[in-house]
Amino acid sequence: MRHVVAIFATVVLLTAAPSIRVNAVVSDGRVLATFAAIDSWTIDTRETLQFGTVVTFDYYVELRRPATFWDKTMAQINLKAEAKFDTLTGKYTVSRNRDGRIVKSEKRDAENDVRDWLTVYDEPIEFKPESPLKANTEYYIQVRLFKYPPRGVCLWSILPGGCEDSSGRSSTFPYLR
Amino acid sequence: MFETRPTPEPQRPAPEGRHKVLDNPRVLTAAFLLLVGLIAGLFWLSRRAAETDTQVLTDVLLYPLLALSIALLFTLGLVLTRNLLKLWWDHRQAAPFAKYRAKLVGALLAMSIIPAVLVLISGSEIISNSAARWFSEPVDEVLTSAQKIVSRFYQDQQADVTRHAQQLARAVPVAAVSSSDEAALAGPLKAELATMRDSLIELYRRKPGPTVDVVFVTAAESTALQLGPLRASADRLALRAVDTRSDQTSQDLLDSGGVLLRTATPIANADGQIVGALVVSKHLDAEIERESRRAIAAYERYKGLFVRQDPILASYLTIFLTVTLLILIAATWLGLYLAKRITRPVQLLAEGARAIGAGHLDVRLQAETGDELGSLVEAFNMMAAELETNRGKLERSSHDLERKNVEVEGRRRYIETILERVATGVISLDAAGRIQTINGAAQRLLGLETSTVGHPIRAVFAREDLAPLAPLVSAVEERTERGLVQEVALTRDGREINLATAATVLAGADGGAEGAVLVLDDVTPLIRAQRVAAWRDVARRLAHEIKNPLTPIQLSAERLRRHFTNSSVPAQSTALVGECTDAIITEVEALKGLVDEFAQFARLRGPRMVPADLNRVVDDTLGLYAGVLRQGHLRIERQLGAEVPPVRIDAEQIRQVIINLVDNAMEALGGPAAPARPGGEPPLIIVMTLHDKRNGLVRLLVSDNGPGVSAADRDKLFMPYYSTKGRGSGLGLAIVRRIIVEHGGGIEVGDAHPAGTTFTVELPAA
Repeated sequence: MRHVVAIFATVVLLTAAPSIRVNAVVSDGRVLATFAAIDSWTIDTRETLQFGTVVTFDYYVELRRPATFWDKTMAQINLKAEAKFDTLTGKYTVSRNRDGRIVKSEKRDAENDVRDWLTVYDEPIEFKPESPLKANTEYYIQVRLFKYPPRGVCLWSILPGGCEDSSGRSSTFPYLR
Repeated sequence: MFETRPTPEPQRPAPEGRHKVLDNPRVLTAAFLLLVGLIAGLFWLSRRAAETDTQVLTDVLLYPLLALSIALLFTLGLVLTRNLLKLWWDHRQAAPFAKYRAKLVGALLAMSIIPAVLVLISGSEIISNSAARWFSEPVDEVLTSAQKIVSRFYQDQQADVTRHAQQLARAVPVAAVSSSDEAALAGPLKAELATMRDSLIELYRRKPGPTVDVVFVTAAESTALQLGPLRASADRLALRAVDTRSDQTSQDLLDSGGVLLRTATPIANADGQIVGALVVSKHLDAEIERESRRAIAAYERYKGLFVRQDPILASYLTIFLTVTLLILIAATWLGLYLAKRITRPVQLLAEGARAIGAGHLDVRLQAETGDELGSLVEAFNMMAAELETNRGKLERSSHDLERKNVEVEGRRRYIETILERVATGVISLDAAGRIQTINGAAQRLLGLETSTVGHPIRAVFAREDLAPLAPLVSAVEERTERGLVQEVALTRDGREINLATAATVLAGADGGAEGAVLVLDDVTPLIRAQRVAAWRDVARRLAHEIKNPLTPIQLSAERLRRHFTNSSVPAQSTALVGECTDAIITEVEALKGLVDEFAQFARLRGPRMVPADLNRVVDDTLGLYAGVLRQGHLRIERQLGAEVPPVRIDAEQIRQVIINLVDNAMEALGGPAAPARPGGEPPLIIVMTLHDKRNGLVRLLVSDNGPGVSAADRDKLFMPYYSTKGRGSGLGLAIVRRIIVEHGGGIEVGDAHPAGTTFTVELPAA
């Protein structure tokens, strides 16, 4: 029973999630985002990686419009960064994909490179909203991170929206064409 | 199950459809198979949990199952809460078999919930302990050591290759590299190759130009190594080394299963310029590679499980929880269902019995099973049908009885009405001699009240004025078969009434006395009429027998007087004769007047009755007294009713009645010049008419405030030749009575208040 209690006690720990730094840029009518989740690189993450387990940072990047009750999501991008440490050769294999498509796959030797690979998206990510954005309207960008494998169980994951490991949002910005 | 035909109060409808579905073996089998399938699926998932991808494990298995478990727990809570509330409510409403059902449900729930909860707790503990043993310290140490050894071996081999590459890069002549002089290069390459096993050395020259590119120059290979073309990988590695001006390593897996550990080292001239690159490769055979990979794979799998131990354990626990909840819900439902199946027929029987007790005999129960309870339900239905049939018969009998009672009651009322309306008094007695009924005529004749009903007749007739009726009571008490018939004279309120009485004993079917009936007939008017008729006959005989000799007597007396007047008889004798003859003549005249009155009484004609206004007749008659009353104090007051209807009368005779009564009153007061009464009040005669609607009578009352008539004289007043005045024939009131009787009415005399006499004449309204 103590295991059961311990497993579900991690819920409390997981709710104290680190934040993600998000920057939003509007350029030529395009909304671009960069973000960094440095704090999400934890000892557990490093240990998991060193065990040769595939570590996945699953980001949901959303362009949202503030509203009184429920903010409206205008566009959403799913980014996944994966890393696998070869415990035989000591090399890392990393990859990134966007909305299910692999966009990069490389090998790295240094752990810091892998950390940045997983946590830093400094190349601007462009949103493609389904409906045109309204000029002079405030928007913001929200990034939620789900890390795999999880080191515990979050009961709230049974609810819509899940139980993210960390999240962050940019300050609101006006959309200017 | 609970059927009723149309009843005043509709019964609770039974949810037959639901029960039929639940009673269907196919449905139950399908539900059971579905449950088994679900549990088998969950077991299959649990076997796959450790190998399942983490994201699939959590997002597809763990969290949905957790949500399902919570939903199942909620459902279980709802089912339990609903049923417990229902039991509580039934218990509170004192529903039939509520306690029994509560006990049964409690036992069945305890039998399902307690073991399931115990299994859940112990199973969770076992799973948790088992999971803890996956990651025991010795296993961890072995696997970690193996990983370190293999990794170290691999990296040492790689380092050895790198060392050879760097050593050779420093040894090869740079000029030969730049000029691609294979002959000059062959020596150093082979010398180095000789120091290595199963190795391959490839030398590249950098192409001159702004872009970085390399050209293969030469290669040396161990004789045992037959790798075939692997140039492409070496090309890329050499190019990267030249480009980055640093060592580059790679591990190329071979089709044979082995691996080629490679290091590319840039070759620099004396100026530090990169002129080419050396790629040194060492082959590790397939077995080493395979065993190394196995060791690493075991380590990584172990560590992977370690990392994912919480989600995996949570998945196992959730699967176990879900299975337990499924079994628990199934067991709970089954328990409740069985409890209902057991108690429902009994409960319905109890409700049916209660409905029958409330009079709903058309209640029928539907047997849900063919077992003993079904037989009991059928027996109940037969009993209900029998009861309903019997009640139908009873209702018909009751209806007939009620109808007969109504008829009897109508007949009784009819007889009662007749008895009430007849002038004959009827008293019925029970076997004990108590009055059962007494009609109005009897009450009036005997002066009794309705409250005498229930009292013994002897006690009632013990009253002094009813004492002459005692023989009747005796006849009843002695149960004289032929009864008793006799005439009785009673004095009530100073008046004598003559009753023809008859007592008849009622015999029952067994011959015993059931009671008696007393019949009382007022024959007073008949007796009076008989007396009047007798007097008329007497009057006629008197008139005939007395009047005839009177005339010769009178003529003889007058002749005697004339004879003695004209003769020479002494004057003394003549005076005597004159005195005697005068007396004879006077008395004869008086006798003639008396005889005339008797003759009038005897010859009184019958009335010629026509509708007339009695008030007017009274008014006209009293007008005759206007002149008479002027001199004295006597007054005649008229109180004529405004609503007196016409009456059929002979106005002349009624006028005679009024004159007679008023004359009598005036005589009683002292004549027209009567003095004031002893109390000082003036002498007064009141003539009143009024209408008695209830009895259909018109009354004429003549009252005076004179000295009154004694009770003893009242009945004799109307007898011929009876007078309280000491003079006259005494036929006045006899004639008055005769006139009134011939008008169908009656006349009574009573006291006036505060003093005096009142004559009341009753005439039927027209």
